[in-house]
This record gives sequence, structure tokens and C-alpha cells, in this order.
Amino acid sequence: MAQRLNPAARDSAVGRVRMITTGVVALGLAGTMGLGFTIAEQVKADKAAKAQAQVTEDTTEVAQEEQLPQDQVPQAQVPQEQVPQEQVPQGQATPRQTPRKQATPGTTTPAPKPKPTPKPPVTSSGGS
Amino acid sequence: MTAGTKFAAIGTTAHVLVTRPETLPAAGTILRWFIGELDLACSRFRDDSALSELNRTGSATHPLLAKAVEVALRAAADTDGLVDPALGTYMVTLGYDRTFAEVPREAAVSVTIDPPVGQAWRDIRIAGDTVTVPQGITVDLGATAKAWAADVAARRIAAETGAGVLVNLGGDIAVAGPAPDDGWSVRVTADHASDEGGQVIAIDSGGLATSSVTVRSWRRGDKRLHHVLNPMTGLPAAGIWRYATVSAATCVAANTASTAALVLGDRAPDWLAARRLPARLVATGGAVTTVAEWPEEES
Repeated sequence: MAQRLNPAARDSAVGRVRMITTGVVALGLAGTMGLGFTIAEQVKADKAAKAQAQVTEDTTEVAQEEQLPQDQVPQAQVPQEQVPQEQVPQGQATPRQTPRKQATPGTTTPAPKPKPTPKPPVTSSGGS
Repeated sequence: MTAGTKFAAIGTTAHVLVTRPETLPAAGTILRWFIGELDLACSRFRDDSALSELNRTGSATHPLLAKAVEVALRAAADTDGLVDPALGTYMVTLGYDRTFAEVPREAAVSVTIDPPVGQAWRDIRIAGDTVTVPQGITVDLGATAKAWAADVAARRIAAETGAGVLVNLGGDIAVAGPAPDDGWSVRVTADHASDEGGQVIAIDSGGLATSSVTVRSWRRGDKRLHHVLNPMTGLPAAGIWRYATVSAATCVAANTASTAALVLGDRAPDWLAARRLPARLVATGGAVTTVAEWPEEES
């Protein structure tokens, strides 16, 4: 049964969707940056501790600048479950994997098995 | 108790059902909005779409188009080109050059097709939100965009409302959120607008899609044509199956497989079984073949 929306309700719903999308993206970015910063700081602290120990053993050694090679920097990653899997692009470029390296969504997880049912159908799947 | 609303969109029907009736207005709004955005990005039949710009100029920048093309290229890669988004030129030559409601169902002219050379889809490129195609290639996202949109919309609506959701875009069905008791009951048949025939089954997650050679069909000269093309010939796939229905973890995976099944013909059951995709294939003569634990029909 079709229900008509009044424009205010529709606008409100659209507004909520946009707000939530913006919030999720902002939280994701903030989380990524925060995690990256934290990890970088931890790595620096570990390195500094090791360097300090070396200085203690050999005071003639010149302290090297604390700089971690890029390939050793742990990449800040937001845990997968926190990343929206299908974001409607909002106009900004997002990192994207090469299509051929990634399977079609749903092809790597087991397919759900349809079941027989005595219930009348609520909708139809067919050609269109 | 479920509630639903159905409306015409993108040359077919859109149907959304929710397990919490009070969320239906929001669900309908989200679906209409998303379909509108999808149409503006991916329609082959409107001049102002990003896809039309891509096919006219060889390049277009649009986030939703880029995502839809990415999904189409994954489908092509997963099927080794059986589901090919670069066959738009062939579709146009065959006569499907406008929204299907306006395609003349019969015409005296005959069509001549030269087989595609290579797999042109491999030369489609995506960089950020920009898609580029080689000269002479027309992209057609008809095989995957609708199914992908059903997946996205269902997840969006479920996340927004907390309700169980079923989104059906022209027979491509995606479900998300908590399903009703005993699942969503769905009729699988040749025509999604039909209320009879086929089989009624229940699903509670993932996606379900049916590809058919009977609904979008037309005649040119003495040939009956349809919209599922064989990428080896550029012509409609041989009509071994009247329709094929597949269940998968997502609607786009189901649609990719059901389209591939029509192209594969008699090799389809083995191909589907190897991928453990439950499927129901109906031959042109009406014989039913089921694959990978698809439920038996109740007599």
C-alpha cells in the first residue's frame, strides 16, 4: 500500500540521511587520523628508548635522527567493521582498489540458501 | 507485520518492504532519493547523465558513476567477461537504443553484427571519481547497476531505520536487517511483474536475482532479440534458458551469476555449482533445473 509523504517529512528524512552519512565519514576520518597519530607516536617512543639504550652503551655513537622509513610505518587502519562498506559517494575522491584485485561484493561469502515456504509471496523476482 | 510501497522508476518498478511499518515513509524517501541519484549517474537513456557524458566524450567524473563502473568491472573480472559492461554499442545496434518502453517491438530491418574484438572492458579505467573508456566503446551498466543499487539502498534503509528491509528493483532483490519470521517470501518467475507461476521461496539475507530473455525482447527482421548479450558474438545469448534465478550473498553477485548463466547456456549448472550458488534455471521448454541446494518445488 503506497503512502504519501508530506514534503516536510521527506526533507527531514533526507536531511537525516545526509547528516548520518557526513557523520560516519567524519568519524572514520577522525578515527583514521587519530589512530595513525597514536601509532606514530608509539613507534617514535620505542625508537627513542632503543636509541637511548644505545647511547648509554656507546657514548661515541652519534644519535641518529628519529625517522622511521615509510615502509615500516604501520598504516593507520580503521577496523573493517567501523568502515561503511557501501558509502554513497558524496563528491569527494575516495581511495579505491583496482577492480580486478577485488571480487564482486558477495562472491567471497557463502550464498544464503533459499527455503521453501507456504507463505504467499510479498514480492517477485523476475526479468524486468 | 510488514509494510511496503511500490513505484515506477528507472524504466521498471521499485518495491521496498520493511518489518516496521512506521519506518516505511523514511524507507520510501531514501529509496526514491537514491534511485534518482543513480539515474542521474548511470542512465544510458538520458542525455544529462554522467554515463551519457562518458559514452559521448570518453571521460566523465562522477562519484556514483565511478562506483557503479567499478562494480561492473568486478563482475566482468569475476566471470572472465561473461558479464561485459562494454557492449553498449552492440545493444544500440540491435535496437535497444532508448528506454525499453519506447523500443519498437518489431521492425522490418535486419541487423548485422561483427563479433567484438577482445575484451574491451579491460581497457576501462577508473582514477578517483573519473572514468575513461577507449574510443568507440559504449558502456552499458544494465547488468549490474540496478542490483548494486538494491544492495546499497537496502543496507542504507536498514541502517537508518533499524528495520528489516527488502528492496526490489525490477526483480533484483536485496534484503538487510532482521528478516521477518520465516523470512521474506518471494516468487521467482520469468517476469517480476507477474503474480503467478514460478516458485515461491523464502530468503532472510543476501540477494536474489533473476535474468530473463522473455521480458525485454523485440524483433528485427526475422530475429527475436533480447538484452542479454553473448560477449563472444555481440548477439543475444542463445535461448537455452528462459530465465535463471540465483541466490547469493549480495544482489549484485546474484545478478552477475544469473546473467552469466544465460550466456553460458548448458554449461551454466556446472558453473553455478562450482561456485556453490543456489540457482533455479528454467529452460525454454519449461523444464526446471536446480543447483546447490535450491529448494525443491512443493507439489
